[in-house]
Amino acid sequence: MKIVKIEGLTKRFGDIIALDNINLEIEEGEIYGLLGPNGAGKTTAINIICGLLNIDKGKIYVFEKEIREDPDFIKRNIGIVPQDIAIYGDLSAYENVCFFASLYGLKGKELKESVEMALEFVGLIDKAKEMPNRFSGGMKRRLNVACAIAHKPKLIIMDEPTVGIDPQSRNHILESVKKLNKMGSTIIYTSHYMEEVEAICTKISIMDHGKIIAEGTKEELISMVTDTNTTFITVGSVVGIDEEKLKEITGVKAVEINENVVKIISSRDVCNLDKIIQYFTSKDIPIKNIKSEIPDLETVFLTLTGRKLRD
Amino acid sequence: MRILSIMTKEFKENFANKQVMLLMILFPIVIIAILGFAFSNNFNTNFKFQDIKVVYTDKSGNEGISLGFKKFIKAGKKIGIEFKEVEKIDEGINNIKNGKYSAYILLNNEGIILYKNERNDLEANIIENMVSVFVDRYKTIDAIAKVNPLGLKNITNIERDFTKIVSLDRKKALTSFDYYSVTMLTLIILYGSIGGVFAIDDERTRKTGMRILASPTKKYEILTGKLLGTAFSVFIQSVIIFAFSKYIYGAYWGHDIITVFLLITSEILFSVSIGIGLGFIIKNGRAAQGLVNAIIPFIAFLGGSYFPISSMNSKLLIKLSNASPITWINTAIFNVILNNDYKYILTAVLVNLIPALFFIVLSAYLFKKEAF
Repeated sequence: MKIVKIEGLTKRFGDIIALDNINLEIEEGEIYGLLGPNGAGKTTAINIICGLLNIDKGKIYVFEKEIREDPDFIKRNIGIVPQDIAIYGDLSAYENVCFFASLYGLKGKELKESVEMALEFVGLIDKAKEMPNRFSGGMKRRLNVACAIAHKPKLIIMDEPTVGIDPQSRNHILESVKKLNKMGSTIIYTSHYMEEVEAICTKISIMDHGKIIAEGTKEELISMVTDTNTTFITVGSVVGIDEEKLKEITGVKAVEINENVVKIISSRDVCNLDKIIQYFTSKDIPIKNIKSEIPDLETVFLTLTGRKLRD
Repeated sequence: MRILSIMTKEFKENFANKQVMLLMILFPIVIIAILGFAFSNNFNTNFKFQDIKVVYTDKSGNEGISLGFKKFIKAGKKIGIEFKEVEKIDEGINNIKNGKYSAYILLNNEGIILYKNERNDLEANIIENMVSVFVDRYKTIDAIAKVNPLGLKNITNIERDFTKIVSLDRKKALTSFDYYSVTMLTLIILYGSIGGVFAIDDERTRKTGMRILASPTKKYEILTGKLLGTAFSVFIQSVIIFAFSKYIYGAYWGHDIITVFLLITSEILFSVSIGIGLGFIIKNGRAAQGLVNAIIPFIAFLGGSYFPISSMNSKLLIKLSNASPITWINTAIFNVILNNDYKYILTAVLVNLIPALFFIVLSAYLFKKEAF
């Protein structure tokens, strides 16, 4: 089942084109990453999926329904974790979650249980009666997540949920995303932290200037820009190293020697590190360090746009 | 259900903000005490019936009425009211205009006409009450005389009835605490508009509005919940101020508390609706608050919140005061409390509810066009 399907979506704000003819499909059960720098159009896309913004052109289907066909049904089944912490500082953590859950029609015992479950899930159950004004940034972020999941949505949209928080809370949130996914929710996760997207997303779209410039799994995206891995081997002495012999190892495409570092470029689809190490040990050349440089999404983004993600 | 959720959330939030809550409740309570003590001599606490002077002209040409009216004068004189008969109607009216007399009673062949001196509200109202009793009584006597003249024997002493009315009014002399309990309450309710402003603006600045809009909640539910939640908060504040003024300061609130609170509720809806409207129009809570803070003292001054405008003897100010909604609400409340007089209620309620309705419709329109 396609949870979200977007066809030719265009959104303008005056003269600025925020989204330019976007097409994407999100399957049920995916953790779908929208990766892009600030201003790429990620939040605009999310606001449109949530029914918060009108579109200028194109079609959007959520849960296989056209977005204007049954907005109530769609909204009832979406949970949004906004980029900004959207909670009431003067209401307790429990009251915050309870209020937002009640807007989705939960009441009575079901409401109470759902609120407690959501707080338990984000690790704030023991802080339920406390005011978020006194929470750390990480705890507020976790409460921000709890407010979005108490009504058990089928689709959870997380818009940069880890901005400005400590590593512990970040890990907690990333683990929560995986758990929610395992529990059956489809997740749309936007971030400009490529390591987060790499770590949790099953499919990724890279956005820039309102366009999707690449889409696929992490491996598919990397293979779009490079088909090689680079290995740096620091040795005690380069005396006796035969570059031609190294090039004969399966998959090795090029060898460069710089002082006592040997740089070996190999095909990505060949595992030859064991053979390379064997070559050095057979020549009694001591290995001091081995470092592999595997291209990441940052490299992909840099290659595709000429800019770094956080420029 | 969602309206109730939003209402409850607004109420909890308002009461969670202890600073604002203390200000909204403590401020009027303290000001009532300060102004109550400071101006205690300026109010008519030692009211005497000898202060009431009435001028009249009898051109009824009806012996029955004339006789009844003479009894009326006799009853009034007994409690110290001064009566003077004048021949010319103009002379009587001029006596009211120049403030020499509290009221002018003209008896002609069409009935009884009462001219009141607006500057002596209390005295004029007492006379009005007495005249209305006289008229009612005369109508009864006239009706009985036409049907059963013998029945007239059973009519009780007319003098005693007037004395009863007058003695009731005696209790209603306005003290400074009575005055400021009403005016400070109606003044602080105006500041409830700031609650309306921030009911909208806070959702915008905290980004929670976006979250509400992403839920299946309808915009009318949001608007209604916010209006009722904020209004209910101000209502509870009003009840606390009312109770404190009544039971601690001993302020007189009359016998018809329900009507008084009906008027107060209409003012609450007025101020909260304006606040919500401004929250949508100005889109900057602090700026909207500044505007409200600048306007309210002016409206309150004209409405007699700080002292009765009539005491300044300025025709211009009295005319201008009609433009202040507080004038109408205060007048209506004082008339209910002091005179059991309900004639200003409809005007006061309409003066509050018509702008309230306008701002609610405007807010709904602005909300429809865009989000928080």
